[in-house]
Amino acid sequence: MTSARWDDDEQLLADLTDAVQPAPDVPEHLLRSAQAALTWRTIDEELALATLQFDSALHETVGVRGAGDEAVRTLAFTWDELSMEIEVGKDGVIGQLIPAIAAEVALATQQGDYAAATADEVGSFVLRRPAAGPVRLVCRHGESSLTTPWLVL
Amino acid sequence: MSAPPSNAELVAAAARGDQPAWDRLVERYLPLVLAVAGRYRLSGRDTEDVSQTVWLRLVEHLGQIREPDALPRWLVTTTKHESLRVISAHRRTRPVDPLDSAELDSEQAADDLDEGILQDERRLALRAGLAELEPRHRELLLLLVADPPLSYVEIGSRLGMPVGSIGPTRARSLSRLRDTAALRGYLGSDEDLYPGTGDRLDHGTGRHGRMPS
Repeated sequence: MTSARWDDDEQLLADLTDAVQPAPDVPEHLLRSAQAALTWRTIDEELALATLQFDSALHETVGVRGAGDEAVRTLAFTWDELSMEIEVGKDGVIGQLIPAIAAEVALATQQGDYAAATADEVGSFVLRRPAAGPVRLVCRHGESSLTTPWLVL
Repeated sequence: MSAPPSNAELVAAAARGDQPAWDRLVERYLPLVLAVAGRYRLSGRDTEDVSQTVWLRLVEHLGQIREPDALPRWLVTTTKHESLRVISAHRRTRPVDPLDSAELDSEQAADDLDEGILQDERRLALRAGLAELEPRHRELLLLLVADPPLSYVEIGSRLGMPVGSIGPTRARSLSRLRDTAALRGYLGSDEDLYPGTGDRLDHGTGRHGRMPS
């Protein structure tokens, strides 16, 4: 435990010796992008944030593959009165809203909406996805705007 | 030199949209996020995605952070999870490299990884603690850990301090260091605050949308 570790003057000094070694440089473009992330604060004021209920990428045993060649990552999100389940494929996302409502669902990147679709009568939708970068799914219906957290698919 | 702003001050200001405060938070903790992601040996592109996702997540939660001192731990946990997700997602779409997975899956490798991340957290907390100290305490500690090491005679002459008082001052400086907000925050942030996915700072009181059905 660290607190006991630092009760000892010699250990604290040893860790301090390690800590004052020069840190590797932070790439400038990562710093700029991270600092620009704050612009999403105001943009997001009207969006209700979902809770991530399940992500197979964090739960399944690493290395286990599905019946086919390609296992499918599944995620589930919930808001107060709506749930969304998605399956992530190589080129796109297949999802379903529960209960089924005719909401517009958009897959957004930091540049804006990348793909959008209207959920069908059973709440299903299909969206293209980009190869990389953080995305989120935004659901618009009547006065409501709901979003998932940002994530890398 | 005035003490650097606390996490609580920076988080509160950033939550109001104060860009300089947010910039400062990013500068303070981006090295930690990159160090943790680096331990998973992600590609440059993946590191970029993980880092950016972590910062966007923090923006989402800015208004609800109850424990600003727990911020470094939250960043570490979120970075770990996002890194693992990226690795897992890649395994679905790319051939598994048996050597690579053997290495990642071994218990020893996992322990090394955890120990490495703890070391990253300790380094960051200690650097932040040093920055908080009064200059005389900071200068003494920096001389005491100089590489190559300096004798007490050299340290005494540089600081204009009698050699006999270096020992007691050293003890006092170390106890001041233990008492900085950075070290107290680090030691006080309990891993048990983050059960399950560990993605939350707000202990389960997130915004919930209502959608008319």
